[in-house]
Parts: sequence; C-alpha cells; structure tokens
Amino acid sequence: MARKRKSLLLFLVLLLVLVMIVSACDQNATKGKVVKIGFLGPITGGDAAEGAAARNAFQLAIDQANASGKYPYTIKVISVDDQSTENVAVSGAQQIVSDPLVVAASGFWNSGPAAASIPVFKEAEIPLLIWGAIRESLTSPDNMPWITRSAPTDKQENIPLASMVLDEMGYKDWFVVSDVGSYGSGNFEAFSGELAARGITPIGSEQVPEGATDLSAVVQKIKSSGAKAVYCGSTVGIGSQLKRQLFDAGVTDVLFCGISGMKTEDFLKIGNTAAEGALVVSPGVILDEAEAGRKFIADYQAEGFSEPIGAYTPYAYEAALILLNALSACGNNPTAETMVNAILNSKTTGIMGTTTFNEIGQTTNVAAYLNVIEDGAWIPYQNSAYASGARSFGGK
Amino acid sequence: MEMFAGLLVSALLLGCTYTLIAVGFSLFFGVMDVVVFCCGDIAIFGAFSIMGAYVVLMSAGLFNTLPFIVCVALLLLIGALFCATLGLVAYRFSIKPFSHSSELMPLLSTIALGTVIKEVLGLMFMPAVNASASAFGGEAALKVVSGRNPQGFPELLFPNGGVNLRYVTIICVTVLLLLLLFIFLNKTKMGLSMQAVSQNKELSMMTGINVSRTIVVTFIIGGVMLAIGGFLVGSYQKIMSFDNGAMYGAKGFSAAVVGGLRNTWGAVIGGMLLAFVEVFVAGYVANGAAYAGVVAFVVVVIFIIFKPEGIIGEKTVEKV
Amino acid sequence: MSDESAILSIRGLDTSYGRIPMLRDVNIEVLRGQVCCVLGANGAGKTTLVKAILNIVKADKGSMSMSGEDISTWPTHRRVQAGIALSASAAGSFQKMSVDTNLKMGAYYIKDTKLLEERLAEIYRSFPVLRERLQQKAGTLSGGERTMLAIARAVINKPRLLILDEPSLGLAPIMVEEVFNIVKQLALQQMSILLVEQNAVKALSVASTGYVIQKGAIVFCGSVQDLAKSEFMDNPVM
Repeated sequence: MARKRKSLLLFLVLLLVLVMIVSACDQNATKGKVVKIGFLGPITGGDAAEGAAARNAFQLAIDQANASGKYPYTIKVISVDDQSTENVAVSGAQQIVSDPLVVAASGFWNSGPAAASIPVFKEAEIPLLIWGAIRESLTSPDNMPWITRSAPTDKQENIPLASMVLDEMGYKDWFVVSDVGSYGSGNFEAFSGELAARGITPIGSEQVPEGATDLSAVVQKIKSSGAKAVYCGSTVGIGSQLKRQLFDAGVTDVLFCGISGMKTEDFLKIGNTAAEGALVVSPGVILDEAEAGRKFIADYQAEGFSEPIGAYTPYAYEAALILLNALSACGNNPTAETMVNAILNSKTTGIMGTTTFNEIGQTTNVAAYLNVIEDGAWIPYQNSAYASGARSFGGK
Repeated sequence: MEMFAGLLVSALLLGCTYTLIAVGFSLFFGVMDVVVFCCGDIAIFGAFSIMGAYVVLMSAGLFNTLPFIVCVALLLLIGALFCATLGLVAYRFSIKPFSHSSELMPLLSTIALGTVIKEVLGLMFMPAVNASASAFGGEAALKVVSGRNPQGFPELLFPNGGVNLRYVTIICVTVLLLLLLFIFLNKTKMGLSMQAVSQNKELSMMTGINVSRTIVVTFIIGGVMLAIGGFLVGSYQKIMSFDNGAMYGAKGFSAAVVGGLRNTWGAVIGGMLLAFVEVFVAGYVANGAAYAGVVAFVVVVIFIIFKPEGIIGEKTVEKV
Repeated sequence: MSDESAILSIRGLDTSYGRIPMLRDVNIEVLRGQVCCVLGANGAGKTTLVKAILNIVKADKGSMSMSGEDISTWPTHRRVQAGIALSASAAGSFQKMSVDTNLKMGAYYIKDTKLLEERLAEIYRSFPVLRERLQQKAGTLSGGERTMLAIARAVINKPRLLILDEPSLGLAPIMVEEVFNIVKQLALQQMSILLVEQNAVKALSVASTGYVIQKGAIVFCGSVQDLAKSEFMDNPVM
C-alpha cells in the first residue's frame, strides 16, 4: 500500500518536471512575445450555432491583426466553450484568468453564464468585454471598470425604434402593451421613457400576464381608445396574438410596432394578412450595405467555416476589433491593468459603426434596423413598400 | 357601447372555450370522484392532433379531392378519436390503479400525466407530423421546427367567411354540443347511468348498472368533448402552444368548482362567469389586464369559502 | 351441486377487508318462495354478506349458485340481470333524480317501455305514498318514504330473489310496522326473500327459516320456531 502511494507520488513529480520542461520549450520555441486574450461562448450545446460562428469571427479578427504586422507581439486566443451553462462558464473563466499572459477577455452570448462569471474577472482584475449577452444588469456601476459590453441591451433597442416611429413618422397617440415578465417590463419602461422624453403621454397602457393567450379585452380597449399606434414590448407569443386579435377586431388603421423578441418566423403563423405591416426593430446592421461589412462577409466566407454568419457573429468580430484597438493604445507591453482603461476610453470604428462606452461600460453604439412584414415575409424596412410610400401603416 | 358589445362577444367566446373544458372536469369528477387535472392538456392534445392531421391530409391531397366540409368533419373525428383514446389512457393508467388509495394519488398522477402530454407535444409533434406528411410525398415546404414553437391552427371554420362568421360558429357549436350532451345525459340509458354513478356509485352497482363500463364511456365522451373544446380553442386563438394546457386546465377547473364540481350545468355557468369577470376587469379597469386573471381566481376562492357546493349546486344531505 | 328448490345457496364463503377477515365459512340457503332471515348485531357482517351476494364485495373463497346454476364468477350487473334485487336503505337513493327516475333506474334492464309502464303502475298501487311524490327529488324524501322507495326500486324488477338489507333501519315504530306489512304482502305473493335484520322480533314474524351471524360466522341455522326458543333471542334487538 505504502509502496504504491510512493510510486504514485514519484510519477506525479516526474509528470510535473515534464510539464515544466515542455512549457519551457514552448516559450523558447516561440520567437518574440505573446499576449493572450480569452474568448468565451457556447461553442457546443443548444446555442452552438451562434457561439461557434462568433468564435470563428473573433479568431478571424485576431488572425488578421497578427498578419498585419502592426503588433510587436503575437496575439493568441484562449477559446473556452461555456456550453451555455453557468458552472462550465465559471471554470472556463478561471482557466482564462489563471494564465499570466492574459490581458483581456471577451465573452458570452448567454446572460446567465455571463452573470455567473463576472465575479471571477473582477476578482482577477482582468477586463471582460461582453460581445453578445444582452441582460441589462450585466453592465453596472458595481462592475466598473472591469466589465464592458459592445452589444446593445434589450432596452437599448427601444432607442432607434423610438426615433423612427416618434421622430420620423411622428405618431403621437400611443397605446403601450407589454407582458409583466422582466423582458416585457424592461421594454415597457424603456419605451415609456422614450415617450416621456418627447412629452408624449400614452392614451393607454396594459401589461398582460406572461403566456396570456386571450388579449381581446386589451384589443377592445385599444379600439375604443382611438390610439393611432400600438407598441408591443414582448416576445412573439403575445406579440403575434395581439396583432392577430387587433386585425380580427378590425383595428387595422394603426401602426403596430415592437421589439426584436417578435422577429421570428413564428410571427407569420397568424396568417399573412393579419401579420402584414408589423414593424419590429432588431439589433445589428445590414452588413452588405457598407464596404466594411461586405469585406467581413467575404473574409468570413473565404475561411470556409462550417457555421454560417449569425445575428451576433458581427458583434463578436466587432468585440475583437475593440480589444485590438485597445491593445494598440497600450504600447509594446500591454497588461491587464493598462487594458482596463484602454478599453473604456477606446473609440473604435468597425463594421457596425463607432463604439464608445458610457459611464457604466455600456456601448453607446446601438446598431439596429427596422423590419416589416410585407406579403408574408420579414424584410428590412428601408427596402419595403412602406418606406417607399407604396403602402401605409395607417393611423395617419 | 361599441366597446361593451366587443367585450361581450369576447367574454362569450372565451366562456365557450372554458365551458367545454369545465364540462370535461365535471363529467370525470362525477363518475370517479377525482379531479382529473390533465383535462386542459387533453384538450390541447386534441387541437394538436387536428393540426397534425390537417398537415397530413393536406399533403395526402385529400383537401383537393374531398369537399372541404367532409375534410373538417374527418379532422374533428380524428381529434375526437385521439382524445377519447387519451381519456381512456388517463383512466386506465393514472386513475384506476389508484382508485382504492387516497384521493390525492389520482390527482397527482393526472398532474403527472398532464406534464407527459405537454412534453410529448413539445418534443414529438413536429417530427411526427413531418414524418407522416412526407410519407405521403408531402410538400417539402414543411419546415422542421420544434414542437415547442407556437403553432398556427388551420383555418377550418369558414375560411373565407370572415371573423364574425367564425365567432358565431364557435358559439353555435358550443351551444349545440351542450344541447347534445343534455339530451344524452337525460334521455338515454347510458346518460342516466352516468348520472346515477355520479350520484351514488354503490347504489348504481346494486341497481345493476355496469359501473366500470359506464366509467369507460364517460371518459370517451369526456375525451370527445375536450377534443371539440380544443378545436374551438384553436379556432379562436389561432396560435397554439404546446403548454397552453395548464392554463386552460386551471381555468376549466376553476369554472367547474364555481359551478359545483359535479354539476355539468354549473360548469357552463362557471365558465361563463369566469370569462366575463376576466374580460370585463381587463376591459374596464385601467391597467386591468395584468390583474384580470387574479380577480377571476379570487372569485373562485370566494366560491370555495362561501358556496362550496357551487353556484347552482344544492345542499342535499341524506341522513340514514 | 345444490338442491333445486334453493333459489340461492352459498357454500363456504370467506371475505376480507384488506387483510382483516370479515366473513368466515358462511353457508346459507334461501328456499324458493320463502322468507329467510339473517339476524345479527351491528358489525356482525350482515351488510358484507349482502354485498358479497352481489359481488360488490369480492369473495376470497367459496361458491354461490342460483337455482343450481353457479354464479360465483358473475360480475355484479350480471347477477342483478339474472334476478337478484337488493334493497338497502343504507345505500340511499339517487338524490338529484326524481322519484320516478329513481324507479326507472331500478328497472334498468326492462327494455320494453310498455312493460315498464305496467310495472310502474303496479308499484304506485302498492306504494301510494310514492305516487304523491312522483316528480319530487329523491333527496327531499322523509326516512320512511326513502325506505319505501328503496324497496320499490328493487321490487319493480319482479326479482327471483329479493334481498332486504335492514329495512327497519332508522325508522319510527309506526313506519317499521308499515314496512313489514309490505314485506308480508310480498311473502304472500310467494316472492323469495332474504331478509337481513337487526330487529329480530319483526324479522321472525315474517320469516320461515333463520340464521344468526356473529363476528362474521353463522352461529345458528334452523327454523324460526327453533330460533325463537334459542338463547339468541334473549336479546331480541341484537
């Protein structure tokens, strides 16, 4: 027994020596300096489509930077799969922060794993730039200065929507509907805030229980209120139900607009005529509209990745560009300490516009565009018959 | 005034859907003395089986060869068949094995069965429908989406007749169905024995009623009622989710309690009362939509406290 | 297997409630056209016996035959259909149905509507009190009326064997008298009756043979004359 333990101990010591030799070799072999950046995302599991494509884009940006010769060191990515699971994410975060060469990390598509891992980065004083998790509370004064986010929060989507429907289209008589859940009430507050900022009091507002299926009473209220525009800050279940019941009740001469949670193909199941004219904001940019975006698509496709570009893939690319920009500002010897301020004070123009961070580390660049249902399909608003004036939302 | 009329119609329609599910509860409670908690899920299962059968019939080309009304009748028949089978399964596997143990056991086991039904729909609905549709060489346009996504219920009630005709049909079908049930319960021997078993099971046995057969028939009839209930829910709601059953189950059960669990006609009044409270609170109270459901359940609690025998239930205590 | 003159013969019947034994080795014979009474105190096993005859309570052991035909494996409804009618006032009534419907439920197996009408008319002649209550809900009847209804519901089938389970239960003396008058009339019509009673005096006045059941076992079997002289009659209400 004792002998066995002794030999085991010996084996472990040998292993340790071996590891030391190998890692020493590794450092000797690499000519020049290495700077490491962590990446976290759901590379496998249910959200793998988003996570793996984001990893590809992130790696693409770093590879391009290394190839450009602008950096006097080699940048390496430690890529960690969080499997959309909180405890996996936390151990991945620990793996990243324990590497002394890591100067910054970017991570998370899921808000839960992000929230669970944030303490690890704060403790280790390693800056984390969130590229795809959108729960509002992730960026906060408490998490300053370590945590920043380049993706807009779910609430921030309301800003470009409001500027379109309130400022450009000029609707004044609003009825605001949402569900009582956290997503719904967050949107409810955000849009009500936009209305208040413009001195508009909504004609009416209702919050319905989550999973509600019968909204007929709300529809009757909207009908009799004389509202000219309806805002729905909820997901597709309630959003599509409200649109259909408005249509059935003959309330068709109003604008129906809402938030990205409704922009799924499921919305069309209420039927093309009932769905027609729903105006919904969604985050991101239409990539092939600008030169930078078209180049990104071409580069991504040239790499031959098996995962197609998803909604948040450009965000991951953009996050890498922001970190690279911050690295450039840190001179020849970037450290986690210098990176914290470099990220916060950065101003990066990438494929989605110009990103700067506000006082809680949240991006001020809310890239979003509007979609409308026309003849049974979601199309960008700017290409639609509604934008050209061939069709009208009503309520005018 | 226009709003009042609109709310009235909404309440009537919602009441119709609650009523049919509540009637299922009261029929089952009558013969078995247990609350079969998966009634809502059975109804949603019926709606989903109609949706699935619709896709299959479509891809088999039946809608092009047979008259539309025949196809709808066929779909209803399929839905009824599925629900009747499910009713029997519920009885055979989650109620009968516990008929000699505490009343809580069948209650729990039917809740469990409801969860099973829900999850089966969520997991298997689309794959099963896609597979059987493609067996007919059905159209590839069918998208493989998860059964957990919202599903669109096909337009089966006067597809070109507009929404008002559809609403009128929903109300008419409900009334007709209740009328048929009334005739069945009071004018046929089987209906009378269902009432007898509900009122006094032991005496029914002594009278020579085949009690177990009566129970089986009740579960079949209840299943058919729930299938048509699910059909009407689908036709009214247009968008169905696999997990709608729990909500309809809760509403149907509440309506049955308000009406007096054993009383089929009480269930009708209970369903209507619940729907009217919900719709009118949501309609006339500012920001009421969030609280309408709560107010409706408060009504239920008030009934349980002050009139546990239900709205038209009578207190009959037989002393011996 | 059994004497042809016996309408019902029970051999070695055992029943139990869960693990608790209820009846042990019960042997009873009811002769055609006679009134046979089974006397016993509360909890002696009388009601269990009655339910076992209809297979409402399952037998663990023993056999049962009707006019020589083995009915041991028959389900309840088949036994009723074959002509065993049970009137148990303790079982109550179909409270929410009218008296009329209650009687019709009793005549569940009479398919011929004309025959049913005739039988109903007969019942109303024998039980005039029920005719007055025809459309009233059974739940609103008085105790005596309910007992009448229970008997009428069983008699309407013209059963081959009528089982009366404690017809005197909970009734005022004057009503008990009236109930037993009816039993006497039925006996005069040569109906085979198994009368299960606590009230020994009344039971003996109509029966020809008698059994005494104690703690689930038959402890006496013989003619009513012998029974009247036995030590079991020291306490006439058992």
